[in-house]
Amino acid sequence: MTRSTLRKVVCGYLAICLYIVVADAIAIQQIQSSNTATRTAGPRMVKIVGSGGLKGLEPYQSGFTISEDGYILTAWSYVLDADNVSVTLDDGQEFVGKLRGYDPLTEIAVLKIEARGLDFFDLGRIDRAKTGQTVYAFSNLFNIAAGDEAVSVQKGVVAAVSKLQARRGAYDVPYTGDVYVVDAMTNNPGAAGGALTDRTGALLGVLGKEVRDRRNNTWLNYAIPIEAIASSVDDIVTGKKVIASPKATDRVVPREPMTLELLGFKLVPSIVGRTPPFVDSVARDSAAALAGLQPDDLIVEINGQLTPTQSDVFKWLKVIDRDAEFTLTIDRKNKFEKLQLKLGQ
Amino acid sequence: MNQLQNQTWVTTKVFACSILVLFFGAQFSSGQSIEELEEDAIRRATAAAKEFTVQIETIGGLETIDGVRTNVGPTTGVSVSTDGFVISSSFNFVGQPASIYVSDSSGERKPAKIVGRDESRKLVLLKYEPDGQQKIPVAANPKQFAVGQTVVAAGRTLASDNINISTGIISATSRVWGRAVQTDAKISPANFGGPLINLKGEVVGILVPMSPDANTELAGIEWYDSGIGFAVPFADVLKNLDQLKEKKRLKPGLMGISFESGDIYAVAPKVAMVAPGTPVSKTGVEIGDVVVAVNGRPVQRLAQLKHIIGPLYSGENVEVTCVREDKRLEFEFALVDEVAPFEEAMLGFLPASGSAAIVKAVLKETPAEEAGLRSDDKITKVGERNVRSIKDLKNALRRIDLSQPLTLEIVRDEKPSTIELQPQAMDAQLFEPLEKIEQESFAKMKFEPISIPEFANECIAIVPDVDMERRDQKPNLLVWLDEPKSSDFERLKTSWQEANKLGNTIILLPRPQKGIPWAKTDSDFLAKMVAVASLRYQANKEGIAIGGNKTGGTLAAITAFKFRNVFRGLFCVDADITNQISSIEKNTPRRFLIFAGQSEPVSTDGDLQKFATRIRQQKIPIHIYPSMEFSMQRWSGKILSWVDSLDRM
Repeated sequence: MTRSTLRKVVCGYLAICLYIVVADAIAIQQIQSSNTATRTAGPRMVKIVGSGGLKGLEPYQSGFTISEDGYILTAWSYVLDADNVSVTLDDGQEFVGKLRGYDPLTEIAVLKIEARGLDFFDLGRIDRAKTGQTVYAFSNLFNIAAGDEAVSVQKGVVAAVSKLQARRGAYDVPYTGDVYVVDAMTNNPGAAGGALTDRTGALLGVLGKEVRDRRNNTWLNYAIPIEAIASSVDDIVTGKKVIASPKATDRVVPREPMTLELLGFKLVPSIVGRTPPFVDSVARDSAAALAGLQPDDLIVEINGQLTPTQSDVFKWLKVIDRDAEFTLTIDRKNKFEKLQLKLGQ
Repeated sequence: MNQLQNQTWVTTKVFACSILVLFFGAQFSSGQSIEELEEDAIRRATAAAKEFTVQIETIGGLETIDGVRTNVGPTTGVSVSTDGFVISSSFNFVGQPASIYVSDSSGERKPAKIVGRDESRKLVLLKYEPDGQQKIPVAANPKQFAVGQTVVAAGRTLASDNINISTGIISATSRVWGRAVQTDAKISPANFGGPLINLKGEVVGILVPMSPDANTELAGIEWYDSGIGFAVPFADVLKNLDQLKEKKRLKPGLMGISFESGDIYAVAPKVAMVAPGTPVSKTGVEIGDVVVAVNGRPVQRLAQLKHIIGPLYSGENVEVTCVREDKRLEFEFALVDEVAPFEEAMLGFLPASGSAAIVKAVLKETPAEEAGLRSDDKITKVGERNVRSIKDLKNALRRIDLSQPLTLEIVRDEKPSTIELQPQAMDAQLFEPLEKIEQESFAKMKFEPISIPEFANECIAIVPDVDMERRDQKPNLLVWLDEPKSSDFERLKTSWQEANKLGNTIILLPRPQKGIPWAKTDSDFLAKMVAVASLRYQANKEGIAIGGNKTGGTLAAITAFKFRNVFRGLFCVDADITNQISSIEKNTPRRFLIFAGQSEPVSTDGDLQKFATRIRQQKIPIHIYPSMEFSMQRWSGKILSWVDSLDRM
């Protein structure tokens, strides 16, 4: 071997070494971080099979352990509507799950299996995520994992922390609090009851059931934050309640709410569901007239809340006490005006 | 180089490498994982987006469009000027809302108005009056778009105080005929109108629903959140901003040329038709020219031409290089936004078979009869165009102006002469020839079965018992579909056999699967069967027609409209065509004549009349024949002579 060939070989060898070391460092880092999430959350995931069976009513869903002694958190659904709900742990052990309670507002349920020494998510610790943060979704979507197979893991980011405004078919979903919207496609049969974690495997939320966004009719991929369900779960686990009662809504409805009649104006006849709230007529010397409201004004906001339809106007008037002063934003020839209204002035 | 120097050199290299390894190692052991680094990068990139991504809300408007529920929730836009111009997706306004409001980073709603529309990129420009100067984004350089680079899609719909994001990569550049980049980030009504941002925080594009196959406002919406999303390059948006601000409506540019159809990835762009009245018609582009370059870029296939024309707007000029008989010709003309449907002219005669432009028969009650054209006249010039062959004659007739009188130069009995006539629009009715066409007749017919392996349907072909190769004229092909309920197949065969005395046409009599009525899906069988038969019998491609009675007629219509490039004629009797044909292909250069007979009288506001109006808007000749006393015996001969006259001129 000549010297120059030797030199070439040595240099080539070193270049390869350098490449391998750097590339490995990157790859290992990536693998390690998803490994952390999977290592932590994976063993706590369970697969649940119960009633159902028709298309659109798949008889399976996901869940996870929340105590050492066999409490399981999952979604409250028709799947649990069976005498024997089967719960399969990550290692393949199968148990019969007994329903201990549920929360109809957040649509979560707690099951109990006769097992001990389980690895579990501690709901006493509450982690939160921000928009843009990497998240992992653990669930048995489409029932792909069978027996002792681990559940499927999807990666995404938190798309938004947003109030849930969703419907299932024609019915509005009762929970309207904050949810984590994610850009991983979790909206699939079997995913409900799964876990959303950060990259360390810390629990952020419970994957929700299949629903559509009421605003834009798209399927929503979301998880309900742990803080929204922790107290209900606690009530069920400690045996205080079987049906965790929904929290009182923060909107207090006044005994004597404001009405259009009291204010003294009428809206144009509502022909379609989306007829805009244009003012049809204003009674002379009424509170509306004194505030400066005129026919053909379009009501845009009531106390800052958008009123795209006439029913929105009625909805927001209902929460105003008839003795209170409130702000009406109107669109008059494409210019906004804010009017202060109060009865009896 | 001595040995000592060499060793030093190697040592230096090893040392340098070790330093590098240490450096990278340190980077990764500092506690920041790749994901954390990526998260940081995304956070930095999207921080600025909060300033220029605005929320849009609307009041009123339609609740559904084409059965799709329109958005009621907020949508997204991007500030493009400091004084309140906002670009958004036209999808966000398909419901034609009564009022539009913009909330920028100040959080307050402001009334807004639509100023301009870009129908090519499906964008809308809004204007509102902001408090103070608005932040505007920097456009990413399209030359630096790299497939695989990380991008973030942003909307402002799920929360009013923050943007919602989805991450992904650029999946492809120059998509939807050069109008968009493709991304695998989740694109939906939650971010249509919002920005696609690179990791530097620059705007790559504006998110819009799009489809390479359709240009309607809702096209591509079915792909939401699928991993297939599109964004119009922001640099392109800025280029046209001034035009949009001037309240302009930008439309996709059309050449005004129809090309010969075929697989767009295989066929060369050969001019089939030049739309009269368009700028291109005033240049010298001729039917039969092959386009080889557009705007200096070479073109071999139709798809390449679509890629070049796709991003252009109407009003823009294109330079087109054509090849005609080995000569390269250069043309320059403006693109247009709309091309009126082509209206074919008719003079009123049937051409003789063969390549010469000779009149076989003049048709009764047509301009040709009135002007005194006769059989065996040879046409040598149409208007200003010299005619040497039947092909020249066809091309010349495609370019005449229907509103102007036309001069024909002919040779009759070896003497040149001139005829002046007023051409009429193509008419689909059954014309009688002035004199009986003399032709050898074939009384003998044979029946041949045709079967297609993957279909259970049966078919009998009625074929003149003669050596086809010896005939100077290729046979026509007629597919006849009887009403299965009342069909007497033997009688049907006999009446067609008797009617087909001239033997110019091969008649195909397919049957539905036993005991089952005709189904829409049978149209695929029929198309395959026609393909097989026309190959077997070397049929005349300009003489293929399909027809039928009642449900057979309905299926004939469905099949003819579905396979417009196959059929030149549709003859249906008491068929339910009105409710079965929903889309009518526009501006195809192929001839398509429709004869629709009906047993009942036709009322002026009836379905058939309404359908005919729709058909006529596309300048497709349709003849309605009311109170038709239809029977196979009475009509089979007439249908055959109608098929024989599909090549009328």
